[in-house]
Amino acid sequence: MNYQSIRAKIEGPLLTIYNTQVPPVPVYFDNITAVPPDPPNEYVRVNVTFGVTTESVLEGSLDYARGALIIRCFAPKSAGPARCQQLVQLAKQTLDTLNSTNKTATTTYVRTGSIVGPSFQSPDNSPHFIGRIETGWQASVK
Amino acid sequence: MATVLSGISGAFYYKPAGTVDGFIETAINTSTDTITIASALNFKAGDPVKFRIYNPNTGATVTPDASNIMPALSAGSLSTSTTYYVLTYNASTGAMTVSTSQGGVSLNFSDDGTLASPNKFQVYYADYAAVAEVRDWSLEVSRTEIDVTTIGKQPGQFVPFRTFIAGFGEATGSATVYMTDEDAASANRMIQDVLLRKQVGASMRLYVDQVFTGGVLDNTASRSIYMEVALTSASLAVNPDDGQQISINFRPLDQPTFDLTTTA
Repeated sequence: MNYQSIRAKIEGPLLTIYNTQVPPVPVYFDNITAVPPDPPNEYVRVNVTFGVTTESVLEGSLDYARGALIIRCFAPKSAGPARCQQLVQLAKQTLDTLNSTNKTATTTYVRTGSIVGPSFQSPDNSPHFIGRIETGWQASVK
Repeated sequence: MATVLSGISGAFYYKPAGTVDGFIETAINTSTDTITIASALNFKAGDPVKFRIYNPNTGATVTPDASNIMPALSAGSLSTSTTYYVLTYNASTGAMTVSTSQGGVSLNFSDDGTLASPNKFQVYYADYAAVAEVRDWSLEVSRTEIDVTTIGKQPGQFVPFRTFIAGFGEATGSATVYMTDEDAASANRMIQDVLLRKQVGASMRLYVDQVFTGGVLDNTASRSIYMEVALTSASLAVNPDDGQQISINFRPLDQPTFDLTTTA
């Protein structure tokens, strides 16, 4: 099981799409300790969790990695939902591309499941308006 | 205190279908070092095989003697106790070559041996092999019921009951197998075996308690059920949410052997 290759398959294209925005939108992955910017700056948080990574059989176990992906987009508060939705849309398009990528014989292959969301929150203790999508993923690891 | 057995001590072992056949002396070509057996069997390169002499009328193994001599090789003779490996098998012609090692050099036959009628040589899959992708197996054993109720019973307070005796037994089984990307997986072969016209040799050993001694599977200390089977169906299901599983159904061809004790 190559956990890192799975994470790279998911996080890589998300980092690329947000980095190509003008100006680039910072993306914070798991275990990144940098302090997020205050409004009006926006940013994105990506959390990849691993759920069940093997399947038990009578003679041991087989690799079969599954998990969840949560993407939260932080946009300025009190400015309407449009910008937040645009950021969510970028993530959704990236996942669409990931899901339409063909499997090869030599690289880790990841597909996500149905995307849930976006759901929006405007918490009192946060200066940002937050849009969130989440989905499950499955990987065939090389 | 006794300990309940659970599925973690279970296992599924299999001998592939189309991996046993008998042949006579003339099937051995000492010029080409090939053995011509039946066509349309399913020996694969690398299959471990053994040879023996047997009586086709009874199925009994015949110990080599002056009248039943195993084929001679350039050094020694074909052994009934040695595991050989299939190098090639042509399913169209039945021509087979074997070696003492996987991918090794073909055996060099110098004589085709001797058989007393009606005996034959037999090549067969050497031993059961673990199928690593099996999620679960089940075996249902049932008996037919024969109604032997007679009339004339004395009526009492309660209703008279019919009388039965147990009849013939039969069994059906199934196994759930994961499809994997491993080409050489026994599970993939078992799925293909469902489609074989000649399933002769297909056998299963279903362990309820698999025990190893010194790192070697100990069938005396283990508990298992083994039998020759017909593979009757395979059901494939693919969806984007689950691992690919295949349900394979089978039926014992004869009475299974229930070895459920650890005494020899």
